[in-house]
Amino acid sequence: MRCLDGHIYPPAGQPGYFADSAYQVWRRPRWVYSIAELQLDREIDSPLTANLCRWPMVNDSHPGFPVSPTVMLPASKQNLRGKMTVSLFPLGWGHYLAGGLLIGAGVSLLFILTGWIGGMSTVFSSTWSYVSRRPFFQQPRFIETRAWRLVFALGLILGAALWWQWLGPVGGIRTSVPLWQLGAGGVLVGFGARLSNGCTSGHGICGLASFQWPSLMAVLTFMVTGFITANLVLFLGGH
Amino acid sequence: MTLAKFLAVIASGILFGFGLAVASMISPEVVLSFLRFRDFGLMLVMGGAVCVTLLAYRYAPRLLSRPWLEEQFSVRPSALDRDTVLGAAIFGMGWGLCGVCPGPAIAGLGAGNWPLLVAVAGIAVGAYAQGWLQDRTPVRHH
Repeated sequence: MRCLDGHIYPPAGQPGYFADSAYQVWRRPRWVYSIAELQLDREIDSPLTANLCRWPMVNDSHPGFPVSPTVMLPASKQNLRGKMTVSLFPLGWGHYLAGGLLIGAGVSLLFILTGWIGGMSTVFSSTWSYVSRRPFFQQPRFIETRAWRLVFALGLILGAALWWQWLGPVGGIRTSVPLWQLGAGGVLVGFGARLSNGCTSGHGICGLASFQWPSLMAVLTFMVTGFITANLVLFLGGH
Repeated sequence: MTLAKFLAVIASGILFGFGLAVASMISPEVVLSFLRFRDFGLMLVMGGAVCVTLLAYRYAPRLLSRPWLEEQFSVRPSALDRDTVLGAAIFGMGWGLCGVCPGPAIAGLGAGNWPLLVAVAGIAVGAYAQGWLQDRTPVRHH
């Protein structure tokens, strides 16, 4: 079965399209689904958000026939069919909570072992101190922390790679957000986060967990501008 | 950096990155659907992460005299000034445009989300521009 974003689920050459996919769903803990399955769930479970799906399914083995999502439903989910009309969490909520707890565990472990505060945006300034002689980047707060911040970033990549190998879809995740949006958005994200001295992890997790009012202000501010921009982009025909 | 510290930092990073992947935040689509009020899952991600971190930040300094591998517990620098709010506003605009923030941009590379390299490069450029601008304006550094 091929999604229109280019992924093939499950991988070609495996017998039994549906059997294999169902096997993968059942094999995992209930809260862990691959993105492909999440999108299927979204299509099945929530008619309200069906228009969100930008990846209509194509039945490769029987062209012209629609894919029957019923076959993909694990038995435990059959009773949900048609019932979840309105949901705050159309993709389920367990994996979000589990992910959040793991993120918190990572930041906490770093604090307990080293006493360091693990926000993720500073690495983008501190790493410049290796190559730029500008006085801003040569501040002690960057020089002294640049090594562990890079190692921490490497850990993030390894952690996601571990998920990919263990639980993720074979082809990995591939976003379909256009590159110009990623690039232009990235520049604003980098500039803003560094000007504000924190991002979603710095202000949102470390700052809020330290009961810092400025971080609460920052979180509320970037939520509001984020809501506005994301909806504006959609309204103007972006992804 | 000693080996013990290296292992401590990389283990913490692995937990962080694994959590980001489990929470599906390494897909910008998920972030964008949150910002469009279609899926409120990111509230659970942030809520869960804050609850755990809050316990650590609050109780670790009370229960331990110092971190295992360092001299003292750091305190996050914080100030409510124009830059904090203005920067957050700009950050939010970028976040709403691309659905990527610094942590997931880095972690996503580990799950084969190669297009996020463009976002990582963008963030690096933006961070450089911020430092460049700070050097040119006669205001105090943080």
